[in-house]
Amino acid sequence: MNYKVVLNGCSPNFSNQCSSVSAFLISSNILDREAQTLIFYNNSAAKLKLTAETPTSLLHLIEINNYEAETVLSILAELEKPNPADLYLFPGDYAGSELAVRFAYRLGGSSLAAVESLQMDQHQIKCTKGVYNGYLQGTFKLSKKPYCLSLARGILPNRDSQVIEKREAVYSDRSEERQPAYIVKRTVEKAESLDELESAKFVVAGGRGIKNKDNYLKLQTSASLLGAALGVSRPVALNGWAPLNKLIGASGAIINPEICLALAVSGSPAFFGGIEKSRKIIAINTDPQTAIVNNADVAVIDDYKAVLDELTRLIGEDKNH
Amino acid sequence: MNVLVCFKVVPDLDQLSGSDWVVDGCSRVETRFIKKMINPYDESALELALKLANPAKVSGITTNLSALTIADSGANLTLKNLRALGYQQAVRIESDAELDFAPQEIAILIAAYIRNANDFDLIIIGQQSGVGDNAKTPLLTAELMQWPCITQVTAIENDPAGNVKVTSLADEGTVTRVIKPPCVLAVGNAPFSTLRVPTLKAIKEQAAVPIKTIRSTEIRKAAPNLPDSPDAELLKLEVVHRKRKSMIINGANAPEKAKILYHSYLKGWLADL
Ligand SMILES: Cc1cc2nc3c(=O)[nH]c(=O)nc-3n(C[C@H](O)[C@H](O)[C@H](O)COP(=O)(O)OP(=O)(O)OC[C@H]3O[C@@H](n4cnc5c(N)ncnc54)[C@H](O)[C@@H]3O)c2cc1C
Ligand SMILES: Nc1ncnc2c1ncn2[C@@H]1O[C@H](COP(=O)(O)O)[C@@H](O)[C@H]1O
Repeated sequence: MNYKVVLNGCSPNFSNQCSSVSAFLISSNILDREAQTLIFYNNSAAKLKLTAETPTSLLHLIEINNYEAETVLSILAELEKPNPADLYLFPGDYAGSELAVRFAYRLGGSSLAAVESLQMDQHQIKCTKGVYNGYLQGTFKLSKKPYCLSLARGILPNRDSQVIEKREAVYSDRSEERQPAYIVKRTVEKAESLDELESAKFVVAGGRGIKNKDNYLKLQTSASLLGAALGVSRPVALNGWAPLNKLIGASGAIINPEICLALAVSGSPAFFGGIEKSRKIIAINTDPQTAIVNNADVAVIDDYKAVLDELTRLIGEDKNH
Repeated sequence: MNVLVCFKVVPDLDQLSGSDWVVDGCSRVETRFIKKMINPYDESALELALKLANPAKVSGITTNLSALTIADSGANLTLKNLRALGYQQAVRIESDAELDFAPQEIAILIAAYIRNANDFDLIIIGQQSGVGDNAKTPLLTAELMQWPCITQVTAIENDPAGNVKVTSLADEGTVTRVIKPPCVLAVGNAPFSTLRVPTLKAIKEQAAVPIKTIRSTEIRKAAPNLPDSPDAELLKLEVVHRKRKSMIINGANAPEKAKILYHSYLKGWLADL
């Protein structure tokens, strides 16, 4: 079964795309010398950097104006339709998740989003992914080639990563391609990245139980006194108490700090998936029955504010000594 | 402008306790008896559409809102509430099939409905829905319609000249596009999108008006040449085990528990950082 990888070189998370796909290839036991990575990019200057960490040695770099799903899809379908691979892998970021499903449809294949693992033989492939909001894991069989998978988010780099000694790249220039006709105007505001959260060693995560924006701002002060980065659950971000780039979970940042202090969150799997790679989890919650209490290493059943105030006081005391 | 919002009523799975999660091969978890809610992303989609329609009245652009769900009659109450909130049409497609893991079939029914109506400018759909966590329906709907699709949408506004301004999250940052419909919009984590509550008066007015129901077989006939095989088939379900040691700290009050937490655990862990 031959495969190709499709990456978005226009995105600042390119390096993550490479490491998560590489880790997935290793854990699925499918390393193929003939496999190719297609990279859409929009900055000639960055071309060399893009070829450094790719998960395969054969590369096809396609220059475009900017990442627009409609443009990328039509180029991709045009390139691949004459002689499709059996399997296409897309990373689990926003671009990969949308491309995999639509590309599969255009090639008459089948798709699955947020795939965690893959097993294959000559004839068919089976994949697992989270279902029931992440409470359960489902195993799926895909029926038609090409199989197009977007990966689950937060697949961490594999320690025994493969060594690729020499990469060979071919280039195409599609930067003349017009902007899709339905777009009258397009502007981009570069995001503050999730890097701070995703690379922090100590993270405080606040949930709906913090109750309002004022308390979020206070939590910000406490987190910085503790020397921790601050993240939040979905309701906190959607209520506008915290910016969206602080969101942790299945649809936000997947973190893997040494310590995660989870305050006033219930620990629903869509959130917990974002913190479960933490080495130690401390939960502070008023409700002993809530899921996070069972899923933590240590739990305190009490009001988060009272506990946090005392913790910051104790840490401050120690710092001053 | 005519806007169709597609939504799904889902079980609130956070209501199930650990021991309720018993699965056996591919048999589904019993969710019939737990509280239902509008899928979170769809709730946002429904509210973003209401926000789009309301100021439009002021600006002179009339927006006509329709809501569509493929569900059993359990969804009628939600459909009536949506009418009470200002959705002019609230339609249910009835199907006997088990569709939680069949996003392709859902997308086909939605596309067939759109083709039949033939006057929608915008389709607003949630990014992902339980129980299947498929994250495919908006994308497949766009493909079936051969319309463009914007994912991770966080805001939708009217723009002069009949255009629409769409804000969405992308890997490179926040992208704002002024677009010419038609288009499929997949709503992601949209701030300030809790669905408003209808007035009691409006609810009463709608209570007796029946919900328009269409059989899936009927709508399917209107959509020949659409693919019919599922593209991914569920074979097995398993419970994900997440339990950690979960030491509960006992103490007389919060400060005392904080002290134990700090001295017995956190202090040492922080020293190792
Ligand atoms: C497709 C999909 C994707 C999703 N993605 C995400 C995601 O990426 N991230 C995410 O977070 N959610 C996500 N969700 C939502 C998720 O399912 C939960 O609804 C959400 O995580 C709940 O947030 P919470 O724990 O903050 O709030 P709640 O569930 O309301 O929990 C609040 C907790 O605070 C406790 N509490 C209240 N007051 C206090 C106090 N004074 N002191 C201590 N504790 C207190 C309560 O006991 C309770 O446990 C997603 C849902 C879906 C359907
Ligand atoms: N039964 C349904 N009826 C109407 N819309 C649906 C249905 N199922 C899914 N959708 C829409 O498709 C989106 C994505 O769902 P899914 O592809 O199942 O993750 C949901 O957020 C809804 O907007």
